[in-house]
Amino acid sequence: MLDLIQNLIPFGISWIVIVVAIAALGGLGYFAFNVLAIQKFLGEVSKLLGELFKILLPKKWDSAKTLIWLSIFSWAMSIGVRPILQAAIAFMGWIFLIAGVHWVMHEEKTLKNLLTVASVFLGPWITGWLICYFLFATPNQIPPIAFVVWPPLSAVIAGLPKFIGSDGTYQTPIWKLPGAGDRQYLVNLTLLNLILSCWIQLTFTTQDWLAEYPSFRTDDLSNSAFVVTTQANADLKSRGIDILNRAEAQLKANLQGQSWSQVERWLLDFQGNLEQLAITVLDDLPAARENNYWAIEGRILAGEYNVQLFATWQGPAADPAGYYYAKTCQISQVVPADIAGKSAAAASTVPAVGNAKVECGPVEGPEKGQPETKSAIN
Amino acid sequence: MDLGVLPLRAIAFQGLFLLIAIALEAVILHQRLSLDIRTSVRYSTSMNLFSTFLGWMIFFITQPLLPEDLRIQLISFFFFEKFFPNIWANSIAPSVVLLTLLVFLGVVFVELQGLNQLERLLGKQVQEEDSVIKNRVPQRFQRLQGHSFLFKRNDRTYTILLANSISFSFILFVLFVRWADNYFFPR
Repeated sequence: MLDLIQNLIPFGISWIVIVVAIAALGGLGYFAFNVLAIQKFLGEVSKLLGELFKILLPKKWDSAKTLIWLSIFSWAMSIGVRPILQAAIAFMGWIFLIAGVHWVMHEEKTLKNLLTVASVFLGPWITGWLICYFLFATPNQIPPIAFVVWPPLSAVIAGLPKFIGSDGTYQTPIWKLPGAGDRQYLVNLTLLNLILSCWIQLTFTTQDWLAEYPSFRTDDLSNSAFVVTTQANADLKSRGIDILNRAEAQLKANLQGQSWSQVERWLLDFQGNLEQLAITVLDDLPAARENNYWAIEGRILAGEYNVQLFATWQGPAADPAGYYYAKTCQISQVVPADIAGKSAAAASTVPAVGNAKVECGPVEGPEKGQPETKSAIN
Repeated sequence: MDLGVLPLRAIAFQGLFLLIAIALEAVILHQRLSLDIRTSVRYSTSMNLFSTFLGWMIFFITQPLLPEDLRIQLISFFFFEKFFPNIWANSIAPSVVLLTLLVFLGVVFVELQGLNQLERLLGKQVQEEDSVIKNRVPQRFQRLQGHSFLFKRNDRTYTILLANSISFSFILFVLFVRWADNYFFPR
């Protein structure tokens, strides 16, 4: 063998050929092993798929799985057809899905046992939720009514079997009046679900109230016997901050670039002008009932001229003393140094020399209590 | 929708109060009407759930109709457990007392009607009196019976009134304990 190779190729390289051949053989063996592994893996997968299909595919045609497959089929068919047709097919699909899900929860014993908690079968509440979703949900949102109707509707679904008897001769379902014990059960079932519905409605009422008084969200609600803050929302800011930023803009609209004598006249009737400013700002706020409980106040501090603006909360608060936010603005004359060293574009935003400019600090607060509104001058 | 604030405490308290009321009233029903324990618990559950549901309905219907000044008191109490100093500030305490009394009388009336309707629904004959099993009533309650001049002995109106007095008192006691806890051990 070695001679043969030595004849064919020069000595030295032949060893390499043998090594390569051995490596190739090893590789082949490894590959063969891999093929076996892959084959075994594929076998496992096909077995799993087979079992999956055994679970997914209905054994007989009148089965819950048939309905679920029909709903999936409807969904597939509804893709890419005209909207009106799509709505019709989707409608049928929902009917199949609701009936199928309700049926499969009774048909599959393991599923039924899984859904039975403390001898109460929760299936009707799943069906009920599907029906509510089907009836009320829109692509964008699930309206509150869907949640509120859910428990009573589920109670009806859970109670209906008690009204169905069996015809003695033909074994067909007939309407029957439940026995006294069942009637007592139905009364309590219905009432309990109505109470659940009320609790869900209370959740929505809480949301409504918070939408009317959004600044409550930034207050301390830990004293309440009714609500719990489940997550602090750091993005939510009190409306007082918004109000002061708007007041700053309004103050600038009034004074920025005005001649100094106009500014001094404005400051002379500070409280009167502030009232006007407050009306403008509060009218422009996004509508909410809590706007009625915000007041914009202010005072002139010592110095030429420092104006302090306050947004005072006069509504219900965790602290009966209330709270306020403050912002200090400095009104001064533009001096040549303000424009010096600035590009032409930047300089154009600064008023002419000698006229007024307004510079405001950040919003401070919330401070406890009511602000001191007595001006240092006037 | 921001679900960061949920009325979970309200739900927990209502659940607790319902359990208290159902348990106490079931005991009274069992003692004063000829009902076995299982039936009296079921009756008591039905009555209490029914009156609670009616109460919620009244709350949800009247809440948006309240004048703004009164509504802000309700909201203030709901979120901060404080009343808000406005024109109602002085009259809010007597109003709450009056309202509680009205709620009590309303609940008694509703539960009485509820019990009658429930027995009708269950196909039982409404038993007016003489239905009590004498030896089931403990000695101390028999003395109490003899003193009731407005009502016949074993009258179901009286039974419901007694049952609700006891459950309301106990719930008030629980509320008082909560108040005392907040007052003497503020967080």
